[in-house]
Amino acid sequence: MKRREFLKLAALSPAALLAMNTGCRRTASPARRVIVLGIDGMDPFLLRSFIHEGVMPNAAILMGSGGLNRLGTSNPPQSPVAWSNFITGYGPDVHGIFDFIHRNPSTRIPYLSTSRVIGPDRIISISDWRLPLSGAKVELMRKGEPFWNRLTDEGIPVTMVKLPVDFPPDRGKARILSGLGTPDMRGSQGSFTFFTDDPRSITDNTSGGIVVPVRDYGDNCYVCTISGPENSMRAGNPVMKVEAKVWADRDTDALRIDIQGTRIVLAAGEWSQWVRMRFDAIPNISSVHAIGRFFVKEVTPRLKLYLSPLNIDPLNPALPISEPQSYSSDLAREIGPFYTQGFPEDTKALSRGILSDDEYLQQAWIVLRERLDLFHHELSRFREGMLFFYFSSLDLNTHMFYRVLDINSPLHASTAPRFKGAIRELYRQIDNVIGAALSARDSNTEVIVLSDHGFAPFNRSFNLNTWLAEEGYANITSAGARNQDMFAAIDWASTAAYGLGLNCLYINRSDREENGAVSPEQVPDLLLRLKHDLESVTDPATGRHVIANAYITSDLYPGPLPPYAPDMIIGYARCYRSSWETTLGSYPVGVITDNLDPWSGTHCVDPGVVPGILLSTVPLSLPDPDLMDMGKSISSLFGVPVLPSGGRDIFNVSGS
Amino acid sequence: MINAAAIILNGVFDILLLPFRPFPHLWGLLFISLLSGLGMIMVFRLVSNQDKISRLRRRMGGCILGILLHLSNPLTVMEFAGKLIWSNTVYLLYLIKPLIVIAIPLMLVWGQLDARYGAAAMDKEDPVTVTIFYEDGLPVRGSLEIGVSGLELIPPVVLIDTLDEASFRVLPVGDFHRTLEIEGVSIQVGRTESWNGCRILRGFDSGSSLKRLFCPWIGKADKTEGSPASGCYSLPDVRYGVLGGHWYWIAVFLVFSTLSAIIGAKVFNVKI
Repeated sequence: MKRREFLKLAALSPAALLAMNTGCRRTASPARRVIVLGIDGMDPFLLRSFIHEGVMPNAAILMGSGGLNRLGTSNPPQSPVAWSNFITGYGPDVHGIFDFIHRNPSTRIPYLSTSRVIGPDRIISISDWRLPLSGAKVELMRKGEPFWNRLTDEGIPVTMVKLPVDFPPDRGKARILSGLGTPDMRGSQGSFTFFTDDPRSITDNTSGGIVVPVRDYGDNCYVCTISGPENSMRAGNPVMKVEAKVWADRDTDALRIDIQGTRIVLAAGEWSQWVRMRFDAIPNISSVHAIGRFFVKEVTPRLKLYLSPLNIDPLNPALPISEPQSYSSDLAREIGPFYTQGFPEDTKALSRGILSDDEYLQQAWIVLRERLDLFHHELSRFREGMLFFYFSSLDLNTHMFYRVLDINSPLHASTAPRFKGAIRELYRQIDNVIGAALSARDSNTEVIVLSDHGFAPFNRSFNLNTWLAEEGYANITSAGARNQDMFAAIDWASTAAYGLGLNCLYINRSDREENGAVSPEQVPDLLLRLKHDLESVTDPATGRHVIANAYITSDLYPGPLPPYAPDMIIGYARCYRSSWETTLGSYPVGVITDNLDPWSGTHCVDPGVVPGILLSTVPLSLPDPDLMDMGKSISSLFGVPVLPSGGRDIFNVSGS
Repeated sequence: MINAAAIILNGVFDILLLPFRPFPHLWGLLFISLLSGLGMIMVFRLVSNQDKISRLRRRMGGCILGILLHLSNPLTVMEFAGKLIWSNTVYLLYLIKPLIVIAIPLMLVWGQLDARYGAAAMDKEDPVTVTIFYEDGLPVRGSLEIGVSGLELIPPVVLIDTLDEASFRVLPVGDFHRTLEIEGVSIQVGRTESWNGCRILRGFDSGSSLKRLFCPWIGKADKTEGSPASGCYSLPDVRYGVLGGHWYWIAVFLVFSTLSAIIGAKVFNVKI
């Protein structure tokens, strides 16, 4: 080969390779893109109202393309169950999530249904130190195959941001940031800390968080000890602590917080930026990192300093919150720290009266602004495949402010009128998100907006366990313990059924529960009798039925069920829900009471009462879409050869 | 004299890092780390007695071999072990001189890297807490005058009598150099730009210049009656993505300077 020919060939080779490479693509058209917005708790009735009011012009555009459809939710219609239906295409009989709370069938001890921590297998103990020889593991309790595996198997990029019921995230080729179900650093779903020297605020009530009494000894300094996670490297797992010095300047009604070398100045009424904290398990050797936000409620005359639940630091996560693991830290470096806990809004603090409506809403807006930053960041770099983005704001804020929408709420009159526009404003913000997704759309991009359920008012609380006791299904032997959790009041040997969680009822079976009282052959008749009795309960105050449907689980899900599955799922009627006391097994006096908690909206009712929504740029070819259909339908938009097995293809773009 | 040394040193590092300005920060940090490792090994070669170290290493090798060959004879093993310990002690004595010589340049490099790669520059969206320390008592409330240029002062100013400290927040505005003026004393605060190798001020001091030579993140401030003695700005730490981890600059420096020193010793046949 002559030198000139060689040079010509060398010059042409890269071009030829490039051409060959292009030819290897599935199509010559631009990459297929599907943007899925998962808006937890977007209600079809409210959405339609806001569209008609002109508050949601972008949703109106989508409604013009594919219509506004009611999306069938799960039974029970709780977010962990519903999003598991979405992810797997199957119901709780397959994915195994029946409620926020499950219980050990034998001991009846409740636990969070979505994930659990498994301690290290082997530990060396030296004095009171415990050195694990293997790492602790966090296990995702949801079963079933996620639908996006079919996409990633075909080389289609998938990004799922703040994906519910996916903590720890599924291992695979998809990029995932865990959402709902991700705990805070104390292992709870959100436990705040409130420092105060106001004796009226100091109580032993530990629900939702802890109140820490502090004192100024004349130097305007408060030593505030922040309790973090348990230290599994010490015998007895003591709580790890970080000390913050809070210097009050009462003349300016402000304070300075000195914490681990960082100084933060805040005036009364201000929220801090994220503050990083390091909890040492073994000083200078092993530590875990957390982030939190301070809020100065009051400096004068009394210190009232709120600290948000300690979130897992996305820059240096103590638990796996993303897949790949570097995804969360990359995001934190690119846009700054962000809420990692599954329930980012501090609803417990509002329910406990630690935060006022105004203060809670400030925090809720911080959450939403942060989430919007994350969304725009991901959208700006989305080139190909599927982008799923989850918003929690509508769900949690509708829970807290449904009382302003419903004039029958016991708290409606006492809620300041200025909050009445809060939910409208939230829907407007979500509409802007839909607008941004539509703006990013080209001829090869589809936009789908869906919610897992709608909303209903929660005006009256039904004490399921008290009702069971009054009807003779449970035997209270210790009246003084009625208000204690974990069935402290009853005698198991003479109890037939008990309620635990938000919608679940269990038979006290002798072949399953410790000290169970009901033999297996008695169960079918007992369930039928309970169903009849429950569906007959009426509210003496209104004369309305409290329960729309009591579902026998084995009728609803005929296949084999896991031993922790409930025996009955209670579908409450609109305006009713199980009381908070029911969820953890106590027996307060009175069967039906007014709900005086700001948590005034609910979806833990009968699924027919609270359908979700589906808006799409793709018209539907089948009626009555359901959450379980979405995985298959989204996958079909990419034309993958093997679709996920669960659900139906409601878009049917291939026309098959 | 020390002020001039500090200016020259800052200038040297500015020039060294000039080519890296358009590139990610890690590149400049790696460059200085590798250069430092190489520099330290060359200084070690010049200052240490390479012949003696070489002989000592051979002797130590001999002792180890002796132990391995006479494992069945405990007395001989103990004799060789004693010799080995003695040789190790002598070796450590040989190291003292080069370590002393290296210590000062190392501290200077350490300070420069901390100033340039230790903290993030001011962010236009995140307020920075400024804390000022007084030696002769806090000014009376209301008499403390704080002027700002290129910054927005976010009230309130928190006075802590017990500590003789005052704290307040500032937010950068515009794109120019930022200064505080407290009791008539002008103090440079820093920049929002953070090009690779940019020196980021994390405080000021009106005291000795020597401190500013070794801690170049401290800016200079004059001391007048009633003005603060020193101050600090709360800026977040920076971490660098290396080998899938998130490393502080210190870890990057220690690992890569050591690596470069080991390679340098091999290439230039330095006995260590």
